[in-house]
Amino acid sequence: MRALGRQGRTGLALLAVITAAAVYGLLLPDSAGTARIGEPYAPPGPGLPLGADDLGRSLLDQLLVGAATSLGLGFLVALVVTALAAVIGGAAAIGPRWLSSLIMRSIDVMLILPELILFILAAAFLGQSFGIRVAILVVLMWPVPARVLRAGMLTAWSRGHLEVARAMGAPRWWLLLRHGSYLIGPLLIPVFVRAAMRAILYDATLSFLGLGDPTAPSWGTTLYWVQVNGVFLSEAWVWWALPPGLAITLSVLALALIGTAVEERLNPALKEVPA
Amino acid sequence: MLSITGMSVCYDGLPAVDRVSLDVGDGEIVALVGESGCGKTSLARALLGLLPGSAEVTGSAMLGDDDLARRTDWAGVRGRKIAIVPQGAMTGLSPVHKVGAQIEEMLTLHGGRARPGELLDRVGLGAEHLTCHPHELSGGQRQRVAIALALAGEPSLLVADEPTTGLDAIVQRQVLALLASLGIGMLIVSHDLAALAPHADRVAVMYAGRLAEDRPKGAPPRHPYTLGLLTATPATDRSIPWGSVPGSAPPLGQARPGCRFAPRCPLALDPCHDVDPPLVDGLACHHPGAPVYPVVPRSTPSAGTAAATLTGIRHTYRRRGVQALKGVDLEVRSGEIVGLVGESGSGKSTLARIALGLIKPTAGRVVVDGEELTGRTGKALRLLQRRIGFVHQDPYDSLHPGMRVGALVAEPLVVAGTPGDREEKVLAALEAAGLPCEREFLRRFPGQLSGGQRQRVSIARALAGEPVLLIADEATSMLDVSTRAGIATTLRSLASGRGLAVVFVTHDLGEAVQACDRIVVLRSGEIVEHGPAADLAAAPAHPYTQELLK
Repeated sequence: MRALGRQGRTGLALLAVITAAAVYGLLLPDSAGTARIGEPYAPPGPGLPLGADDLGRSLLDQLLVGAATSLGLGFLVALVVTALAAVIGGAAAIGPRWLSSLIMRSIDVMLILPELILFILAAAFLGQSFGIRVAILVVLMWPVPARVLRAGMLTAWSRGHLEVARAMGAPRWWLLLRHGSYLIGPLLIPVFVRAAMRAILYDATLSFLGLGDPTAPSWGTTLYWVQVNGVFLSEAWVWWALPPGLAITLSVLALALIGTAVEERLNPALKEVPA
Repeated sequence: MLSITGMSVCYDGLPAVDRVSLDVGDGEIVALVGESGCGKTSLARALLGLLPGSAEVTGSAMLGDDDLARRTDWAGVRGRKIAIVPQGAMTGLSPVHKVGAQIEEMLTLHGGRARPGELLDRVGLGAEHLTCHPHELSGGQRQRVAIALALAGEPSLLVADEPTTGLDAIVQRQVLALLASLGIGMLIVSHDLAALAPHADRVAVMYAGRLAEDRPKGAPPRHPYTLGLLTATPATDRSIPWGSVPGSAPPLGQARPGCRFAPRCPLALDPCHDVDPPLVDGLACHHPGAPVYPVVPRSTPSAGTAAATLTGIRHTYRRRGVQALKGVDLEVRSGEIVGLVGESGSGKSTLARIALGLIKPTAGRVVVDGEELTGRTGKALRLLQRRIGFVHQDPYDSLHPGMRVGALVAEPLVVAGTPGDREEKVLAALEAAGLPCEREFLRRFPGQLSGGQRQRVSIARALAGEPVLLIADEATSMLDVSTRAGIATTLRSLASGRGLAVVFVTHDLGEAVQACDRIVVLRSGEIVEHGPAADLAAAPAHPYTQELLK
């Protein structure tokens, strides 16, 4: 923990608070955030700490349940993206030349496609369930980390102890498991953190545009209803729009802080020189 | 002119430089010599206030009326009174600015009155180089530009930190001769005592943060460590033995009381271990004398059967279109050490990697232990590779930092699936490589070993698979001078004891002359000369070899 510096620890603490909220959200009954428990447009008061929306649903419950959805989706996407990127990037680095060029050219094609528009189109046509959103995000997000991990793998492959192991006639799986994993492993942490960060942002964007699941509470969905109801014209935005917006910002900030700290730890050359 | 008195540099309270006093007179060239970690670079940087914030400097360094050790505002001093050619300066030139513009910048910054062309002329380059970008110049030319930059402010004292590192032998001599001809006071920091000695007016030798000796030109070296450094520098004459100083320098903050060199000194007596010798009459030693250091044994070549034969090897790097090897033949017999000598870019490392089966040659055949290596792929190639041992150049990168010594040395056995008692074989390999044959040692990580020990672990690993051929690619180049001969001795004992065929790749012809039976000199991918080491050293036929031997 200490090794991550003040920034990294701040990020970890923030993430811990948000994760705790998400876990609490998971433990709430199924009706939380979807059942009518107050007057429509009720301001904050007893029993409704953040007031209620246009259907009288508790905004605090929506925030907590939404935390579970957003973080869960973020981490799931990040996990799959990291694994996929490691396999594809690794294959591009040490596989036969034709495979390597095929993968690299496909990545180039993926990178020039406008991600957000593709994402919106795919979500509009394929549906809005949790599983489909995860799948779409994974398909759109693997290219960048795959390139990063390919570069890492190529650097690792030129290291002395790997060259010696190759010269002693070690098979590829040995090189990969005994030597490569040691060098590549630490690179996966920033890749994972960045993927989680982007997944949370993209998912919120999609829900905000009304392409998420409108019946399942999430931060993006709450913001969608904010937009539909013109909440910004009244003072209700303070308890209706601000909390989910802040939650998204803080989650992304926490992940960014952790990501930067881990990267600096792995590559001290990135660290700014203290003035 | 410069007078350093009782200067110490401490990092977190641990002294890297310990109470050093040294003078540099007007126009005098002082060589500050020592191995890595002896504090010479810390001392040089302290003179210009270039140490990191964690360093604490005490004592004084008077340059005229200025105390450099206490100075915090360097305007008008750094670059104008004292300038530095930092370590690796030639790679520190801006790649996007022309040489002329970089010199102009320095002249403006330090208020120099010379014209850029004159400065280049002073370092032996022509005015036509002003319009060059650094990538258009060779390493030696870039180093000359770096020296010209340091001269821009007309300093009265120049500090040059390892000015020849990374240059080929012939260019090194030219750069040192240039520095010596500049005619200003100079402190040259280097690990290469033998190369500096002819140019320096005074030689100061440092060991573990203390000044061991400070003697004028022409005076005979008296400190056992200086004598050790001299014998550890391989001469190109086979009648001068090549020795090594056993052990290694203490890490920062772990020096014992008494004479710092006592644990490695063959002449040390009881007082040496207890009392720190003061620098009296330019020498800090209780018992100066003629120490006897272990030397690389000579052997009468007893060539056996051919262990590896390379015929008509050509190789072109397709990406860069560089022809690295242009038809090279090489035969290595069991029990002999063949030296493969060449400067950077000569193709020696490419040839070694072709023999190891790591690179497929464009044309030619490699036969190892009677079986053809070229043309094999997959498992067939891997099976043959197991009969070749490889000692990598870089002992700090060639050992997996997360594996213990036992696992590192056993790796070839595990990879080959050798049955039987692996630990016994590992211990035998460690012993053959000159390492302690103890179980405790097997549990250490590479981070807990010195550079020389790491390279020996690397040798032990290469031996574990019982190879017929050992390829040592610049195995000594990254080690401290004092330990190099020890590695060569180990290789010799393996060749004569086990009948191992050894290819000793090196850029230092002196090392090859001292350690090898036969020498092959490579230049730009072609063999320019080959023959028995003694004959080649005594009567080189090719002008290039003659130039290298100078």
